[in-house]
Amino acid sequence: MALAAPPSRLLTIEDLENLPDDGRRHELLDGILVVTPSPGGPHQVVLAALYRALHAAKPPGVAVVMAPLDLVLSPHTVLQPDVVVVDVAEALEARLTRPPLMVVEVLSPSTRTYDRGSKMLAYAAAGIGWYWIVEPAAPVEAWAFRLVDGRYEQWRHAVGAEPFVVDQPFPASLIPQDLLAL
Amino acid sequence: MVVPRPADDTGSLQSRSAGRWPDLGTGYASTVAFALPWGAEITVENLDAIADDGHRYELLNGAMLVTPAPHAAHQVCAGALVTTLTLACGPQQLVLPAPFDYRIDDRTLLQPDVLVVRRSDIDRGRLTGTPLLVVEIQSPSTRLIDLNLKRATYAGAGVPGYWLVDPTKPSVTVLELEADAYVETAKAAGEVRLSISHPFPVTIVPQDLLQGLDA
Repeated sequence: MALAAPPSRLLTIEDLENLPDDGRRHELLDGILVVTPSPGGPHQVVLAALYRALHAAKPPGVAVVMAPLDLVLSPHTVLQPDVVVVDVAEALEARLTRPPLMVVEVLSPSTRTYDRGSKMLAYAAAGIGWYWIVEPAAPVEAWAFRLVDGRYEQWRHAVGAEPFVVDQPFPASLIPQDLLAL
Repeated sequence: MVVPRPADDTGSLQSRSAGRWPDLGTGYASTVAFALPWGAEITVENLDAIADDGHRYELLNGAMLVTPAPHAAHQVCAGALVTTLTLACGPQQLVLPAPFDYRIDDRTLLQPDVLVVRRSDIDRGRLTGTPLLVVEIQSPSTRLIDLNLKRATYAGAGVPGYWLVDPTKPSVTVLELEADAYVETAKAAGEVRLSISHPFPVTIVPQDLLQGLDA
């Protein structure tokens, strides 16, 4: 029996929900499914340290939440940033449906191009004001971008022992190489 | 949030025999997802094992991309391009429509919509060298990926020419590799004739790619 061609349709969050829990990260970008492996040690160590630093620095009314948490930017774009900074009112939702204040991505070999490329463009298009990228391999490097006229502009950068200091969306400072200290 | 599914509920090949294409990702779910260690990176070798569920499976630096089946305008443009390029190319080149594996390294395998390759680079049915030209036909869902991720990847692989076709305009954008990055060298839309010289002389009229179809 000849089958008609499969229906062409952009993928949605329902498609994501039907995927197996196989330890990989499943995200949707403009209706394309992106599957990345579960992250390794350096990523997780740096992620935990970032979370602790942001959580300690945050003011009242703001929550810092770690992955996995679905950020629904459109019916066809559902991403899982490593850390999100949100209004307390939204922090206990099953998934975020409004752009948070800030997102953070810790790079890994399979996400490096994506986090700096299409995913970054998607965050900018969603109007997320602040975006940090952290490279967890020694000497550890951190970038802060701020949204200006719909695009991210590099705002802070530090590597190794250099201080990484921001005052938006709230004051915070850290030393990149300390994120990998065990 | 992904919900764990019972092992016998993959819904893959059974649905196909019932006349329904399986859901997204079923090909991956029913083969590779649990055959590999939990959370492990999917490799170029693993892609071969993924059951055909009607979607395009590609790998980009270890990140797997699953793209929905394209719609009519996309396929009509693909057909027109393959025909035009085949008529224009010389005996030393071959024009290949998707799906054809362009394996860049162990962690990157893409299936461009159209490839032009040197005939001598096809060895036992596989591509062994760098294509002369890669064409991607944009669908609403692939814009960010084609314009950004794939562009950077093809440039890094040293593919001399990259064309982007937008069936909704319709338009063709010609990019050529200069040093490490693509530079836009020509662009045309609608009835405007695009005269191209690489990888061989060919004229493209974007409107004609739709073959009379309303995009």
